[in-house]
Amino acid sequence: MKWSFDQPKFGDMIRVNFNGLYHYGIFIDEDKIVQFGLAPVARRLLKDSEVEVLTSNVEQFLCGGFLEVGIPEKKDGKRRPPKKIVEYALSKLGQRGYSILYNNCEHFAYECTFGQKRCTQADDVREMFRSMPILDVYTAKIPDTDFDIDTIIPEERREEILSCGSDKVKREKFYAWALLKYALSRTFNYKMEDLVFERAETGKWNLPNCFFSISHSNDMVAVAVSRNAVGVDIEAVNPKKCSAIEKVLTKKEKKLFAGVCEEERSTFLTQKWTEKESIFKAGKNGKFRPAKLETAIEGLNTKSVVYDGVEYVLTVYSAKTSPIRYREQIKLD
Amino acid sequence: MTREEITVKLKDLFDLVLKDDDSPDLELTEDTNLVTDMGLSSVGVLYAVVAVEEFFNIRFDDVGFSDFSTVKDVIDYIEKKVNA
Repeated sequence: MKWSFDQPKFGDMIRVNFNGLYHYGIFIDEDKIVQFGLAPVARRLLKDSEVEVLTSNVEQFLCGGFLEVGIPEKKDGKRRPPKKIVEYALSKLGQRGYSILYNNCEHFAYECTFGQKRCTQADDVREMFRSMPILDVYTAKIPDTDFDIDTIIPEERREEILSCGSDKVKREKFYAWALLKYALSRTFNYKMEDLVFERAETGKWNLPNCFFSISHSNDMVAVAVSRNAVGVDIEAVNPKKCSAIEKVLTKKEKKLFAGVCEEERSTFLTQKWTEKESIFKAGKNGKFRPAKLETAIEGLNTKSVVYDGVEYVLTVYSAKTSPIRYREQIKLD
Repeated sequence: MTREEITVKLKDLFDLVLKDDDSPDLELTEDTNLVTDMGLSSVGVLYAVVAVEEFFNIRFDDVGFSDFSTVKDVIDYIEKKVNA
């Protein structure tokens, strides 16, 4: 359907915009518009169950807005003759059963005009919601309590964790997966038992439904979940490790590093490391070659955080810009 | 799904679809009124209903959204539907 600001004719579908939402009706003449309820601004106090098909004059229909006239296109289907449209609309006067998603003024106008209910507005909002960029980052402290490895899904991941020689590593990996479970449920309402995890040749775990990335350091775990490829890394600032990181800085980074004051050098180097890790994790293939990964790119978000007196650097990377929602210090059981 | 989980997820969802980037997070409690406290407009209602349907995988097909006054009413409905 195309829309114009022309003068409406008998049987035309018309609409008016109120703050981004359209109210629809069938035009008979200036004194008679058939519509499913008045515009929302004029019926605020009514319950949905009280809204009914009624007529009003054009002024009441518009409530001060601008009238638009629908011009059907081929894809809309076959339009009824104007007389039939009006007859059908009038036959529905007094009908109730309003529902904002399934039976609203637009459904009614389309039904009168084409014989089939349709709501482009609800379809558009649904599509917009499904494609909204989402990037949530979760952090949690690893608890001291005992953990039940049998709760890990899928089985292959459980086996993988069990095969770790160190109890400390087992614990870290268990709680990282537990935080992933929490994140997938909170961000996307996914249940672990309904998901089909796949493991790539590189050993990286993937989901067909969304992207995720996991990291742990000291007593902290971090998880990022997103609709786009994402990498996350958390590292405790440890001066002992910094000389190794210094060796993998690119030329540009070395220049930057030269200008960093002594007391901020450890944090700077840890930041560069987490940036390189995050960029690598968001990718699909290859080996981790930190010395070749340039960090002067868009999509990196880094912050310093202090948990239990320990300074950490938390970095998340996604090539597609998304507002990031940080959910820190999640309590894991 | 527990009531607490639904409450957390509903608040996240309303923050995602109803608030501007720069505005503070919504202060939601079960007593929060959808119209007088949250100021939900008709557009806001459409966004909220679609978001809740899509996220919780339910349909508001047996109730009008205007039948809900408070956040508690919405949580009650979701709780009934997802645990049915």
